[in-house]
Amino acid sequence: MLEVNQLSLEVLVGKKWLPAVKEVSFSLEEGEILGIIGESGSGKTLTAKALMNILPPKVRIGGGTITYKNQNLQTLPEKEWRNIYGKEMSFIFQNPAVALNPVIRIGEQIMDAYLAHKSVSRSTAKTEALAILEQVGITEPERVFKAYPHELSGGMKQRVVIGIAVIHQPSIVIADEATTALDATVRKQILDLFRTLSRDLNISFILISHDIAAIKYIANSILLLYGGEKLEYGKVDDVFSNTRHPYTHDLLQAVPHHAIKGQRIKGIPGTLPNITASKSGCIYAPRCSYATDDCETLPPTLMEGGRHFVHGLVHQYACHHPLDKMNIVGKAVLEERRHEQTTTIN
Amino acid sequence: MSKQQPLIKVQQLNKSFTLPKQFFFERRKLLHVLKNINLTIEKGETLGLVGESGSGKSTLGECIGGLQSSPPETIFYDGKPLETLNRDEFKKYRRNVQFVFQDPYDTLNPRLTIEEILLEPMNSQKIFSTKKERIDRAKELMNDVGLSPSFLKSYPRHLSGGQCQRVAIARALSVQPSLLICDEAVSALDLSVQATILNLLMDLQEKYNISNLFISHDLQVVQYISDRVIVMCQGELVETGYVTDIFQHPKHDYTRSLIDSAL
Repeated sequence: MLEVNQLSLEVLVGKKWLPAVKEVSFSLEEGEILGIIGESGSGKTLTAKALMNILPPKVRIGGGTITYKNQNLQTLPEKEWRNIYGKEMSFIFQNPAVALNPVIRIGEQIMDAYLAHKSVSRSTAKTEALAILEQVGITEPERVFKAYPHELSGGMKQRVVIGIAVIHQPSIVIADEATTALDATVRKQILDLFRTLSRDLNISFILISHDIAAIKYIANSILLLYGGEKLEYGKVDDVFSNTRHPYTHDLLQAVPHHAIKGQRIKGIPGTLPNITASKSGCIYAPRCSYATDDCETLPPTLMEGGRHFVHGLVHQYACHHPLDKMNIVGKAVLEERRHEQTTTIN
Repeated sequence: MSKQQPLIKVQQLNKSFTLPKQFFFERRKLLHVLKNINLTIEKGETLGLVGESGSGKSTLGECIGGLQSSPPETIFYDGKPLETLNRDEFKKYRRNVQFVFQDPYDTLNPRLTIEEILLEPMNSQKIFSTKKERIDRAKELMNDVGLSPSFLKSYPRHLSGGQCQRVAIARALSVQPSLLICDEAVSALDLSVQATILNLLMDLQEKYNISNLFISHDLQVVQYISDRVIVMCQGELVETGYVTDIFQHPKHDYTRSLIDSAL
């Protein structure tokens, strides 16, 4: 449905255009939930903004195409893309408190969004607005309809924002860090809401986050960005249980998941690359424990690790020395044997 | 003394803020932020403090650190109530309790070099007599937190978020505190950097034998770093205990819902 092909973005620094996102491609099917994971400076928000045509003034598209239902979104005349944005594609931002206008009642804001694309009477818009509030899990729609944003809690506000985003039954919703500002208990409820909406209304979601646990909980497929480059892409079970790129592996190791004091978690040494620093070779090489001389000089090409046996999505990764489950296991067995030998000799 | 005094003892601490009046003749309303809090922090231990936003966990941290006023006879440092400390003693108390905040960029003065940032608390607390000693100590601190001393001449804007947080930790350690209050100290950091900062905190704690009050909403992080955990909900302390007890056998419903919501 949505196809992003070799998308490159450039940032104006001084008088030079420097590459910030380099040749990223991915696709989105109907009803799919795609998670884009990246740390700060990985270009995940820029990619999302490019999809929504709201790039900041000092950023431009350097190459590649974004195709939605066989229409090239970049060359589409303004009149036509106004019909797509907000109606067929919509956006949810990180902070719900900022996304809503503080001096307008909630109901008015939802009706605004509805009437922007439909010419119906205000009373029809009101029934629609109340229905959507109920659909996003608000127990007293009538009260919330009359409330101002400051009267609602953070989770409720995010539900309202989600309601505004899905009121036209869009085919794609792009959520940029939509659960990051919320409490842990509310986060899970919102993620569950995404899942029900995706199932009931057949909406595709692109969730952008640095929160691996959230993405792992909800997404079908995963795109891993680092320093503006696509490092690994595939179905959730491919990426998480058959991890190929060392960065993905290290990142998963860094989550203090059920770790108990005493067992050290592994951090990744070094710092995140600056997006504007020009580099030859693999972008992760300076922090990678598997890096060799090749990694410093040769940029890795995108390798394909076989098609997923159900979904048919190819597992892709960019690395000279991809990890292999067999390799890791084999190494452990070898070391164990060596240990046994040395002990028997002694 | 037969029994060792706990470092900090909090007894029946209540704290409320006055809400702004809606009408001129309205009586002042109070918002109770902390309700009857009792806790102790032992020497050298890490106490995790978890709770939702608005549960009063930061206010509690600020009360303990002396940044918020607290009612008399509620917070005891080494057995002495805070309000009975005289000027010099209170200054020493301030030195012994140091903060590390969430956003490292906000807490470092952008117009000072890293060296000036590290020397400032040592100057005001008059720890070393000569400037050379202080600079040597600053270099030692930079090594402790895993930064090259060559950064001393640079400004905070030249450093990344993780490096800034390391500087903030070094600044807190510069006056040799006995308690470090980390208020969401790793929440703003990227995952790969967060792990290294957590390890750093644990190493430094072992090296200098510091107590640590670790305030966070992230259960996994608290579970990783703490010896004991305190759970707060709407200003009340709902559960307290050792990490394994709380996470494996939660007694209070709120704690259980908090643990269930972890992904």
